[in-house]
Amino acid sequence: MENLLLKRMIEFYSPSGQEAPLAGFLVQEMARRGFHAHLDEAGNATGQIGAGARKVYLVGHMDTVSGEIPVRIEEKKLYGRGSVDAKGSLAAFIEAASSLKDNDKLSITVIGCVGEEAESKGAKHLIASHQHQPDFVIIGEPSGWDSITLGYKGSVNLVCQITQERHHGGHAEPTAAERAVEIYQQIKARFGSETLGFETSNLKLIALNTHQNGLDERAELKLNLRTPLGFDFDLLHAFLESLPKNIDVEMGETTPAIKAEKQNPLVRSFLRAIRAQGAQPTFKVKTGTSDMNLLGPAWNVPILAYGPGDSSLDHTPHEHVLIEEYEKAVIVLQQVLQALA
Amino acid sequence: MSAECPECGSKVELPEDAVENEILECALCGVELEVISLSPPTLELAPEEKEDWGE
Repeated sequence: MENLLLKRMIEFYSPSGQEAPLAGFLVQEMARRGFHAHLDEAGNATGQIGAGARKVYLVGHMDTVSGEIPVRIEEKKLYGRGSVDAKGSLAAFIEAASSLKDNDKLSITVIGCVGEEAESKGAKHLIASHQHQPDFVIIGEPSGWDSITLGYKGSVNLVCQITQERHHGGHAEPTAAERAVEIYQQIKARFGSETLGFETSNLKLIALNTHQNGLDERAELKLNLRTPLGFDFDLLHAFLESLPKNIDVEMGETTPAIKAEKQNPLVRSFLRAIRAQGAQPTFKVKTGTSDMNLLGPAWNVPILAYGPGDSSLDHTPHEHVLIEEYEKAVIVLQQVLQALA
Repeated sequence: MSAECPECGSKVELPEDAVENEILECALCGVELEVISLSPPTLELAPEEKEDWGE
């Protein structure tokens, strides 16, 4: 148990920007298992195995959110930052692909990306640098071992700054902070829904900061909007442009939602493999985003996300994965790869 | 080749090139179905689609 690949990976604390030691370990580990392994220009740990023509990419990520959790095994649960999101998936990819080392039908490439929890630097590099698209892509994110994820919502970050002359507290004029709250309420009324779901757009107030220098006062509003399929980012942009001129709005990079197709050999292979383990498979659509939002439209091939773990533990101090669940995910992935071969 | 829709009981024609675990739609009730077996042709309701948070 102490030598479990996943445990060794979690022992490298690797928040975004600090993936290099883990990347070095993974390149060595994949090479030891027979992969052609290297670090690419972005710092992604990459390993290719198998001599076939059909290309399968298993794309996980090495980085985690911050917040170190003591790595330990208690009651057959492995605790540690990244155990669910998403080193469990990446470790399972490496273990499953290792078992197809001698196959001559598939070329399997396992990629541990950098920066998924930040600006997706690793996935963007893959899109820019891979001239030949794969035939199938599995994204490494926690779906639970008996489920597959077909969809993720989109996302955009907004920063609004309101700057105005300072007034006496007894003045009728709203403060910059009050104006910021009004802006939040306007955007929420226009684009936010009270119902959280895959088909609604939901606005989160991330931060509200105020500053004053004696003459002027400033309020800064940081927002995140999670968007459904087909969301009109141009309409949002036009709305933000229509706000009063003393409100400076910065709209971040837009990430559209994705919903993958079910009618393909990749999905069928997962359904068969999960059923073979005695479970009833489930499709999931998520209210978060992942590198699938970027890689799906870029490669336009059968794609889904899969990995062990309960995603309600993502980013929490209680992050852990059941070792039995991890092992079942490895078996499912092995069977999927065998079926695709 | 046809099988019974487990939702509405109507006869669903399977494509000639149907394969196990393929997802189909019942033309009558619109429900999604999974081909569980080809001999004999057997359909079950396709996996449920659930909403989940996180990544």
